[in-house]
Amino acid sequence: MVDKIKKIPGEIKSEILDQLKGGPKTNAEISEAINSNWLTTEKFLKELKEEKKIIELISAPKSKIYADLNDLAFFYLPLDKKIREQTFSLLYTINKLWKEENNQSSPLRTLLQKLAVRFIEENNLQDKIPILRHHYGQTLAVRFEEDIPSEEYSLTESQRTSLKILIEEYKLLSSTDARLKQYEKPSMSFYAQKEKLIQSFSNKKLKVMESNFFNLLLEYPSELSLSFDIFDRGIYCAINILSLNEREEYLPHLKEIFSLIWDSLTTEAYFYDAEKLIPPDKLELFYQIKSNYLNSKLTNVSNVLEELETEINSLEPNAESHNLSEFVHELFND
Amino acid sequence: MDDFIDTCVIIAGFDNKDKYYEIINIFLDGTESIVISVYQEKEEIPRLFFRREKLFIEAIKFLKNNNYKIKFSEFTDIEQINLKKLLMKINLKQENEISLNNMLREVLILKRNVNYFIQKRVSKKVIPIEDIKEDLVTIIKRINQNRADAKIIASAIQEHQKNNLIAFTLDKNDWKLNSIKEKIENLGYDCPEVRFLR
Repeated sequence: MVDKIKKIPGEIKSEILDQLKGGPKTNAEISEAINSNWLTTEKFLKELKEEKKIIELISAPKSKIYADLNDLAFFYLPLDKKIREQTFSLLYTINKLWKEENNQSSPLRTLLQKLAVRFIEENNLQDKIPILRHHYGQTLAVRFEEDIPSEEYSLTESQRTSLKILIEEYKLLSSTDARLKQYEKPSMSFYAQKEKLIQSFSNKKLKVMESNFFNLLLEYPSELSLSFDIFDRGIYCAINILSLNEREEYLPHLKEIFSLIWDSLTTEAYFYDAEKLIPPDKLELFYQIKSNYLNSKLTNVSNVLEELETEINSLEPNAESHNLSEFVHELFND
Repeated sequence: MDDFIDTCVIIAGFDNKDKYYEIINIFLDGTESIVISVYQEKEEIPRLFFRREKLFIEAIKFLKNNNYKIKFSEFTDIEQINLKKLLMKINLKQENEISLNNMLREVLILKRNVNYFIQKRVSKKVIPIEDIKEDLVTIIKRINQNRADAKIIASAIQEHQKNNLIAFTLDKNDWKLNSIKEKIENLGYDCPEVRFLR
């Protein structure tokens, strides 16, 4: 009988990290993969956490989920391996070509992402390298880190030429410019409208601001059902605040709340777009991660909104607000 | 004695185009204990306003893009009629984006006025939604065909068993309980007095 070789701690930790390279896993999955018992794995996971090499994504007592802190997938999602690799490979290749064309200086991260999105769309590569909606517009599923090696993405001649042309265009742009350029597309009208709204907070043109809030409401993506309640409540607060005499004092708070609302709904958008990129056996994990991120954001925003709503609702209406137009009067009398 | 008030009474108190606006406000100012149902606060009123907002959103989308396909199936028959009226006004250039936005604003401000009323003037919100008796709702629905209204009336009846109340409404049709009074009493409930403010 051959004695079982006992692994040293360093080896176990290394194996754990290897397991997490492909995406987040539970303790049970890791233990099984590295042929270790749950308690031993748990001990080393705790150490790796303290060493800031891994993160505990979900802390439910029976099912903790861990991820490599350096996992490049946004929200540490358990993406399909091929998508993960191809996406990073493309970012790596674009970065490399950019440096060749621009005296070895790298593009800013946002710029790289926006350029990549444009390249993918112009070359119809969305099936291989998906594009997702995020806080500042469309992005790819992973972020780029310069010091991580990769194979180059195999470009055809025409794709290489197309990329060089885009690099020439984008090297003249700031990250903000690149972001706003993306918002010019019809599919990004919701983002474009949000940008106008933020501008109107700076300009303090209240009629324009109100119009921008309404336009944002019109553009709301109907598939983002989880965030609609807080969004609708935000619009309610905004329109009523803008009708108050004391509106100026509420504007900074309103802007803050809209930032929180925006964060929640763009998180939902990201998860909505990401769902189809998850292998079937990882879907449950995906839903847990989604629930973990989204529920806490939605609850937080809802609580903040409730405070503002209570305050707004406590202000005595003025008599002028009883002047309903004929159509609205009839609408409430049917 | 508590005064249970129907949603239409609250709304009319903030609509100076309503013929009974002044009478309603005199009545509301003179009432010591205003009661509504939890169902009104948590479901009926939010839904009422949401559906009216939705109507304007659809109309504005249509105004901005004539090829926009209105989702008529998401509206009730009466709502569809109102929406079509609005679309006709748009086509006749009687309404534009500004006027539609103004009307949407009115709806949101009215919602706030109603919320103000609920927050500041309503003494009690009664009968948790899960406690509304289904057998009572079924009987009431036979006269008004409207499940939402039936739940409000059922809430008033149930509360009346604990604390005597008078129900006030503007809606003569939905609150006519005489034809089903016996059936309600057979279930073991006394009917409250209903007064019509119109």
